[in-house]
Amino acid sequence: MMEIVGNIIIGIGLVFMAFGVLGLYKFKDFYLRLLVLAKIDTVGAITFMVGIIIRHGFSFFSLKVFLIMVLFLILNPLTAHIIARTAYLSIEGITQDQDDGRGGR
Amino acid sequence: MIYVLLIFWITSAILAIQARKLIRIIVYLAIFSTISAVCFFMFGAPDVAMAEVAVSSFSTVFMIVCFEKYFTLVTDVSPDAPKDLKFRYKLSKILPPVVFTLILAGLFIYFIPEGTVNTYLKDLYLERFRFDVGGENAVTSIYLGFRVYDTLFEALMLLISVVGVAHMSCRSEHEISGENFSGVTKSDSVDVYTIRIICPAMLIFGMYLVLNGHVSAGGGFQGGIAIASFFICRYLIYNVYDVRYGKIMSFEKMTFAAIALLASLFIFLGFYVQFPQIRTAYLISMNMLIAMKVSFGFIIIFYRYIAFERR
Amino acid sequence: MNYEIVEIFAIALFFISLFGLITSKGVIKGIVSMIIMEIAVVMFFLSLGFQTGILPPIGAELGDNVADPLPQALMITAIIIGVAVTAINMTMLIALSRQFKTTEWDILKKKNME
Repeated sequence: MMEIVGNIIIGIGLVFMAFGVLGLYKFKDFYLRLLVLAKIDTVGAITFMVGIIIRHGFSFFSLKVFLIMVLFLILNPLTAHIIARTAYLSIEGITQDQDDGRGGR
Repeated sequence: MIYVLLIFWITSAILAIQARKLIRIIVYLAIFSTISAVCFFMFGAPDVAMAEVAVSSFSTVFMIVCFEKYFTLVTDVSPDAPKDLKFRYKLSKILPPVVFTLILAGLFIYFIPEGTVNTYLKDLYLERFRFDVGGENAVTSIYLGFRVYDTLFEALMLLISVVGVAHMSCRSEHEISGENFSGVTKSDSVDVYTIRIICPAMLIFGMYLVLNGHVSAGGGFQGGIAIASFFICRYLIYNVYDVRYGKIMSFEKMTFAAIALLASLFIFLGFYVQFPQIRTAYLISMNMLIAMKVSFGFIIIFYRYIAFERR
Repeated sequence: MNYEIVEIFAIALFFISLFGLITSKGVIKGIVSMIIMEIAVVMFFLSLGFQTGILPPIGAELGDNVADPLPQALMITAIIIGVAVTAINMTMLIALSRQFKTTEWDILKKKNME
């Protein structure tokens, strides 16, 4: 029973990640892409790890996964924040016209 | 599964070789190192995978620091190279390397040794490492027990490399003034507070890797790089240069002397056979000394890159 | 042909990066090719005797399907030495670009001739 619930939650996490990758190709603006990227890392990975914890039951292994989850929860918004802030401070005016959609400037 | 990963691996390597912008080279190299670490894990080598991940993240940071100071990240790698050449000229440039590489590869394939892989040493080590050296990690037992010469000379190589970096970078600028050397923008309070939460976790993780190196995956090298990354993170956030460079340098040399002394005492003078009850203490202390050595070396290398004068 | 597919990948990447090293126009590409070459060598040594579902040589009871610990112990030191070599390369690159203001092999040769 727990395995089925865990598999379903892992599948939901994969769906989050797939939508994130889709959005990465759909949006051309830098900040929108950063938003989508943060969503992949935070929501997708955390849902994935919750699924793994539920699937394995509560043991020492799931405690380690929980610690990794807490680190993800702290670090991923931080990296997104640092990237957005540095881009805002150092690159003046990234717009849709200048970004060719291939990552170059 | 492993073949899909290998195809991605080789593709990212080719992209890194042929890319023209520095930032793309760095990103492709990071992808390449991460995929190779996953491949190492699938080959049953978690220690090597951990070392590869740690080294790749470290070297990504110092490549960015080094390139950002001296070159511009978004321009071409070779801006001075002549463009619009004729096809025949290009062909005459590209044909000899192709032929040379193909000849070397052909020789390599022609002289393949016959037979299968010899498993004598593998069986011997796997059978005897628990009784001869101790510990439960065969890899740690090998590089601290059976083949301790390799570890000694690796530490010597790292020491020589650190001395070389310190010798070739110019010395006078950084020790006089304590001003900011970095080109990054100043960090705000969100970064500082979050890193204050994270930094103890990084140190604890490094110490965990070092202290559990003989029973589980990990060891001196990986833990040493994790501890060094704590200091690098501290620099990147607080943006201060208050490392006493000469003291760390002499500490590193003393650590190398301690490693050599301990290894020669235990392995070559036969303490190992006389006192079997302190084998675990030997493994843990050797791992800690190696971790100190590696972290000192990497801190010196990173801070020398930071302290280079700007162009 | 006694080689497995995994080992052939590693050998192919070694020769590709050798080709990149020969044809590199600048010093930076040479350094990048050397990094990739080193990791390809590590991959070749680790992939010897690869089977699907192989286990790491850690633990009290080791079964039959266990990886070879000797190349792993050697390759950890090889990776650390590799990053030391990369650091030395970077330092020489910076010294070179400070002295000659360029990192191109052709221009460097010309400046060295003068």
